[in-house]
Amino acid sequence: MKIRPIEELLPSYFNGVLNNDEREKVETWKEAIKENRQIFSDSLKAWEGIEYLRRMKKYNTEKALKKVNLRIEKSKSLKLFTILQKVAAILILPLLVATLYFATKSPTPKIAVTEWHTIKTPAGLRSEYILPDGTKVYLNSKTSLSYPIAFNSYTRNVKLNGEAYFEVVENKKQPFIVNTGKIKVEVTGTEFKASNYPGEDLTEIVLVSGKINLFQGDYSKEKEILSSMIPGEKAAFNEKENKIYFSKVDVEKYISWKDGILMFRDDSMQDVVRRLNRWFNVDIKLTGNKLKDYVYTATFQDESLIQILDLLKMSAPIDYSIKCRKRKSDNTFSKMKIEIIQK
Amino acid sequence: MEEEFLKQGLHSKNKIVFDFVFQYYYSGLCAYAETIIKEEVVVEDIVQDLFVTLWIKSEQLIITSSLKNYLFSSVKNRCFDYLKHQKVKSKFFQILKFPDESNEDSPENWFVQSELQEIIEKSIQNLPPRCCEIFKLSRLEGLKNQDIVKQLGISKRTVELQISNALKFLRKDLNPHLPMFVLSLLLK
Repeated sequence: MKIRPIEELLPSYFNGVLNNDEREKVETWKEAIKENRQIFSDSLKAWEGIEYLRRMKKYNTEKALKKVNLRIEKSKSLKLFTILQKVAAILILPLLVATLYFATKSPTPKIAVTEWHTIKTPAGLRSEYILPDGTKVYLNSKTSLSYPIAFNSYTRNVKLNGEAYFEVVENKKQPFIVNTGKIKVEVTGTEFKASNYPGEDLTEIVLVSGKINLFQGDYSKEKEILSSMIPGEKAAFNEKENKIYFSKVDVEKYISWKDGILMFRDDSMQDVVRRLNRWFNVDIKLTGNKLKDYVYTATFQDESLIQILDLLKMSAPIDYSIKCRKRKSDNTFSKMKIEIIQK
Repeated sequence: MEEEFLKQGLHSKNKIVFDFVFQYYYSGLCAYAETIIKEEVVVEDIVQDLFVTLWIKSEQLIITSSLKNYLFSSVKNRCFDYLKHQKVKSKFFQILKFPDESNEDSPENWFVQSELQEIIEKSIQNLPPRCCEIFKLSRLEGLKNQDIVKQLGISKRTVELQISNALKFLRKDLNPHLPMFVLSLLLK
């Protein structure tokens, strides 16, 4: 069987790998006579049908069905939970009526004022807390978190200054809201970290699991949702540009600090220094232009600052010197100053 | 009759019917969604979401059209909802290409795997053995020509020739059995 040369080009034409000349050749041939057009469209049809089949075959139906069944199972147990809630509500009702009766009888009605409580971590230290609703928070160095002594019944509002990792206890009826200043995060039950250190013009939110919404302004049903996020996503809000950038990230790098691990993944020397400064509460300066271009990957757990600096020295052509700490007039000492020099 | 039986089964939370419908339609729905959204992970999420909702809200389920029509239209709507949501996001960080919703698209373009698999694989089996092997590697396993050259130790020219020979055979053999695709999976 002799095959006409143009037909030989068709597979590559459909694959889009022909050069301009050959592509034109195919197109001229196709338009030349009716018979050619028929051959072309029949070939395309067969090609597309096979391509369509290939795409279908990529999907693993059994695996997907297992996933779907798991989600269905979960929704069932959720339902049971809401039934239990109703039962609990019925039990509580008589108690509530009694309480209301006595409360309304009290002579001076109190105006509800939200009293805020603030927890702080000093520079160079990290800590963890359990909030009144059971939500666990890890606070990174130099961070403060404010929360009402009692959450109101609609929302769980907290205010963040610094960097924190949240393991939010699920409660769809009472969303957990983190106010980071310009951007607010709405959560129903999820794990994520948020940071908004003052002086950095940058608010970062990294979602580990669950789902969150970013919004601005007051929390209400009509709030303007900027975006929702999916696990593994990072949102970076740049205050100067007033823009949010979304990217897929290796979440481990952003949250490892909560377990006392310092992780660098292709980070610029500038970022490394910025994080070391906060981690150890020191003041490291970079001298030399090329230094900024170095990228660094490492994981530290128990290493001291000096050990880390020595490791840096081994992997990049740098040297460092530690300046003497100065005694200030109030008898405290200044931060430890370190200079990293390009060799 | 079978159609009514399936719809009724879904409505009454018959797990065997549900699993059957899922297995029958899943890959076809995904491949169809892929013509609208290019990301496989997103596509799978959308189709799985649809089935979870189908189960949970089965009491409220009223399907007036055919089951196939219902499933494919639902996937299509969910895909466009997803893209609209992405567009809201894009207001803040990037401009995304948004396909035309009124895109030529009719139920004739909707297939499930079993409908294509039998006719296509039977035709491919009819190719001469070497030709069949090369064509399968290329079109069904998605290998690049260079990879086939390496794997089989033959020249690039042979690979290209065998593939075009196969196509020539298949266009004749398949044509009466294949519906027309207006999907433009490949051509812009």
